[in-house]
Amino acid sequence: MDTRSFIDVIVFVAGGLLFPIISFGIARLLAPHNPTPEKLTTYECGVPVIGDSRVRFPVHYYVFALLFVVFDVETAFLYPWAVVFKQLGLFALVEALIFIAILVVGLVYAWKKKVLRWV
Amino acid sequence: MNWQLVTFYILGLVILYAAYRVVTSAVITHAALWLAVALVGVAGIYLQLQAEFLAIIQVLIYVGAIVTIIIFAIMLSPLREIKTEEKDRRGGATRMGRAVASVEWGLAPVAAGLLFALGMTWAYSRQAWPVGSVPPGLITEPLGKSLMTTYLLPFEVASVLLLVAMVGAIVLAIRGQK
Repeated sequence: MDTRSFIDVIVFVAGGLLFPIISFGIARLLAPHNPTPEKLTTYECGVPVIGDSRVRFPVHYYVFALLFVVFDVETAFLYPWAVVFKQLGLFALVEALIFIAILVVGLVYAWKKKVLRWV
Repeated sequence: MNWQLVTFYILGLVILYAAYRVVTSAVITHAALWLAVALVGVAGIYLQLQAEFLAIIQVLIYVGAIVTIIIFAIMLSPLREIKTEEKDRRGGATRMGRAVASVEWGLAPVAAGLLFALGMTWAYSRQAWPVGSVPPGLITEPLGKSLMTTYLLPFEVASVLLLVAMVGAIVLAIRGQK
């Protein structure tokens, strides 16, 4: 396996781990620690917090999650397409456009049926 | 030093610990997040097996989509959290110790896991799944090429399948509202 190309991945993972550790570590070292009950409450646009954060959301939003999953799977198909795109050129572009166009039909259907309203 | 083996053991420990936390977390949201950790670990194993496309799909679909939809389902559910362990949540180390010592949280899963591992080792040692040599290089490029040329029709049919799933979800949602 071409291990050289995965060193980038390792560097990214290491960077992603170190960034929060270092920034939170510096904050812990430098920041004054003086908690009061007001400071420890959850910030909610500056007004007093109403109820628990674990409230039940309206089931209406589940459609958004399902639509997201569909387009996420679409991305999975477009990933190998992107890798070979330069070699195959216009032919591959037309194929991918047809692939996306079929899915846009579903998005238009969702729009027309008014399930995309953020109530 | 065999770095492949070291990486494998580190990944294995991460996966096992995360999987243990998935089944023992009192808060379902935490269990879902631990599941994401376990799935990322499995993606690392795929990467070690030179299946880099599978690793990316694992992160994209399982961590990105499936865990998201699980968290969505938890947020929408009336059973927001498991309430039975509420009073036990404090005192992390002692609770962990008691959990490991108890039969249903500690001994039973460990015994089941060991039994499974022994069975798999036995089957593997008997050459149940013979392993051929893997061609060098990354697999995404030949995969993309065959998807765009030889398997073009299945590629486009997959789009139709996704469309059906989307329309089905919308129809169910509309029916639920009325």
